[in-house]
Amino acid sequence: MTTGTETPSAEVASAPSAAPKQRLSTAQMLHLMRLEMDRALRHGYPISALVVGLDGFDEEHHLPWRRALMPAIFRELKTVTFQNDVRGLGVWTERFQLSIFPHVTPDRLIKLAQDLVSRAGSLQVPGVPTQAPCTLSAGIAHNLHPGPMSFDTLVEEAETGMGLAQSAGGNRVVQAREVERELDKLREEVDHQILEIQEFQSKLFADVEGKEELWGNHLLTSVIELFKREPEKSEGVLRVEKEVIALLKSELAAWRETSTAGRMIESQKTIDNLERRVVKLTESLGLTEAELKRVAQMKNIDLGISSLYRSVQGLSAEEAGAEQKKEMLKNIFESNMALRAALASLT
Amino acid sequence: MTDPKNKKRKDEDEEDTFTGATTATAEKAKTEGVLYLGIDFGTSHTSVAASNGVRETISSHVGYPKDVVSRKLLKKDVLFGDEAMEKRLSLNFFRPLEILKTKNHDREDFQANLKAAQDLLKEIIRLAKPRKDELVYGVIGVPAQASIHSKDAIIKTAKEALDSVMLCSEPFAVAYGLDMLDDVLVIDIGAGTTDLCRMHGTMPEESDQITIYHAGDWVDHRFAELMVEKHPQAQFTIQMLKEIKERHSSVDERVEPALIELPVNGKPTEFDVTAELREACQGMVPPIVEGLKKLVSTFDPEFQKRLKNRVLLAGGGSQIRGLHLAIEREMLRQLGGGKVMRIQEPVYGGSNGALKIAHDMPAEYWEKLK
Repeated sequence: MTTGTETPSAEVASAPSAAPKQRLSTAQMLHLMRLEMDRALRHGYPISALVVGLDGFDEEHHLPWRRALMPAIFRELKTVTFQNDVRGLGVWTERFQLSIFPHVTPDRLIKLAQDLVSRAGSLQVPGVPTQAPCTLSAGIAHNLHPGPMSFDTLVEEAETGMGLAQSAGGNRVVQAREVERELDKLREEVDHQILEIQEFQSKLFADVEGKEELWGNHLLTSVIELFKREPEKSEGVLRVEKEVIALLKSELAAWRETSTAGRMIESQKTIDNLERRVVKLTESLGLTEAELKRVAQMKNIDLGISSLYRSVQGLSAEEAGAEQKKEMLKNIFESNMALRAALASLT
Repeated sequence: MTDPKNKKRKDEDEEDTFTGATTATAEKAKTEGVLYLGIDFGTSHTSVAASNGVRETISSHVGYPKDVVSRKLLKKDVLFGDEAMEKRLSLNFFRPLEILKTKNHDREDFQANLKAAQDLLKEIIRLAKPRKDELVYGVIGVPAQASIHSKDAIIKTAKEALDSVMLCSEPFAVAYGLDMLDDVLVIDIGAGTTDLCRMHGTMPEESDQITIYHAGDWVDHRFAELMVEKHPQAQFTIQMLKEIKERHSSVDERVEPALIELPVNGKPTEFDVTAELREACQGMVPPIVEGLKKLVSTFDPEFQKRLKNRVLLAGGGSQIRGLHLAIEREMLRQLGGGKVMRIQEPVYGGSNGALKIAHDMPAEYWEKLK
C-alpha cells in the first residue's frame, strides 16, 4: 500500500519555495496528530478532522488510477488549505486521506472540504481517463461536542461521515454527528406521526361496520406494524417512512371527507346550526305564548296550571326507607313492563 | 269535591301563571315542567291528585245522549259524574268501572262500558289541568283483580293523554302514600269491592291480598232488601238509597235518627231508617274481619300482634261513622284485639299515594314505559 505524508500545509505554504520538503513517516505523522489532539483537548481549543475518499474507482480494478489520483487530491487539499488560511497535518493512502486541523472550527472545515470536493471535479491527472469523473466524499468531525473525545474517536467519526457521504451517492461533505442528530429528529418525527395516525385510526374506526372502512383500518394497522418491525433504520428508510405517512395522512383526510366519520362531522355542524335555530325559535315561541296567554285570558280560556316540578324528581336517597321504596318502585315498574309484554303478545 | 285549601292553592297557581306569562324568560322555565298525576279509578268515584296542586274527584258515571233531541237539549256529546247521574233518563248511562273491574267480558255492553271508561279517564285527566307544554306522567291505581283487557283499555286510554303511564295496586298506593309499608293491613272499601292487603316491606303478592264483595254496592242492596222488608209501601231506587247512605250511614248505636222522605203512592212520607241502615252497614264488618283473620293467621306469628294493631281503613266506605270501632270490636271477638286507623282523606287516599309513587319513580322507568 502506498502512503504519503506531508508537513502542515500552511507551514509548507509559508515556507520558502526553495526549502526542501520535510517528509515524515505515516507513524510519525500520526504521532504528531495525536500530540496536536492532546494539546487541543488540554487547552480546550477546537480541532477538526477531515477524512476524504474517492467515489467509485474500486480498489481491485482501478488501483492504478487511485494511486495516481490520491497524491493529486492531496495537493488540492494543500491548495484549499492555503486558500482558507488554515494549517493542518495530513496522511493519505489509496483508500483515503486523513487530515487534522488545530484551531479550526467545523464551519471553516466544512467550507474547506466543500472547496476541495468542488475542485476534484475538474481534476486532470495523467494516466486517469478524462471520461471517469473524479468525485470525493468527505467526512468531518470535531471536538466541540459535549462528552469524552479522543484522537481515535475523532478519526472514527470523520470516517463514518465519509461512509455516510459515499452511501448517500458521494460528491458531498457529511458531519456524521449532525447526520445522527438529524436521524434522531427524523425518527422522532416518524414516531410522532405514527402515534398521530394510530390516534386518528382509533377515532375513525372505533365503531365501523362497513367492509370498506375495515379494509382501511387493516391497511393502517399493517403499515404501522411494518414501520415498527425494524428498530434500526437508515436515513433513507426513515425518509421513505415519513413520505409514506404523509401520503397516508393526506389519503385519510380525503377519505374522511367522504366517510361516515366525515358525514358525522358534517351532521354535527348541521345539528349545531339547528340547535341555534331552535334557541331562536324558542325565544320567539316564548313571546308568542305570552301573547297567546294574554288573549286566552281575555277570552277566559284555561291553559292549564304549571306543575311544581321542572324535571323528573325520583326518590331522594335521604328519604327514610329509600332502599326499600326503591325496590318496590322497581317491582311496580317490572310488573308494568311484564303487563305491556303480555298485552303485546295478546295483540 | 274540591278541598277549600286546595282551591286556594289552585287560585295561587293561576295567579302565578298569569304573572309568569309577562316575560319570555319565565315562560321558558315553565316549558321544562313535569306534571305528575295520581289517579284512583274507582267504581263509585274517580279521583286525581296532581303535582300542580289540583285535586279533583267525580262520580264514575258517564252518559251519552240517547238521541238527537237529547243531544240538542243537553248540548253535549258526553256527560260525566253527577251531571250524568242527574240527567240519566235522557242518556245511555254507564257506570263503566263496575264492568271494567270484573272479568266479565262476555257481556254485550262490555265494549260500550270500555269506551265510557276511556272517556271518563280522559275527563279526569282534563280536570287536572295539565299544560300542553309539560310532560305528564301518571300512576293509576287499579284493583288487583282487574282483567288484562281492562288494564289494556286503561293503558291505551291513558297514553292518549299522558306521556307515560303505570298501573299499580290500589291498596298498595294507599299504604305508600302514608309511608306505612311494614306490617300494615289495608282495608280499602270501595263501591264494588273491598280490598284487603297485607304490607310487609315488599310488594304485596297475590297471597297478601283478599278481595271481598261486601262493599258500598252490597250495602246499598242490603239496605234495599231491609227497606222492602220493613217499609214495603215506600217507593225508592238504589240510587236514592245510595244518597241516603252517603248522608246517614253509621254503625254507631248512639247517632241521631236517620229520618228520610220517600214517596208512598206519590206522597212524600217520612221514614226512620236508622236501624235498617245500621244493619246494612254492620253487615260488612264480619266478612271484613274474616278476611283480616285469614291475612293475620297466615303471617309470621312473631309479627301478628303488630300487624293487628296497624290496620288502615281507607276508601269511600271508610266514611261510615263508627266503622273503625265496629271492626275493632269484631277483631276483639275473632282475633283477640286490634287497632284500626281511619285515614285522613278517604276520597284522595289512593290518588295521593299514586301521586307519591309517580313522584318517586326514577326518570329511566318513565322513559322506558313511554
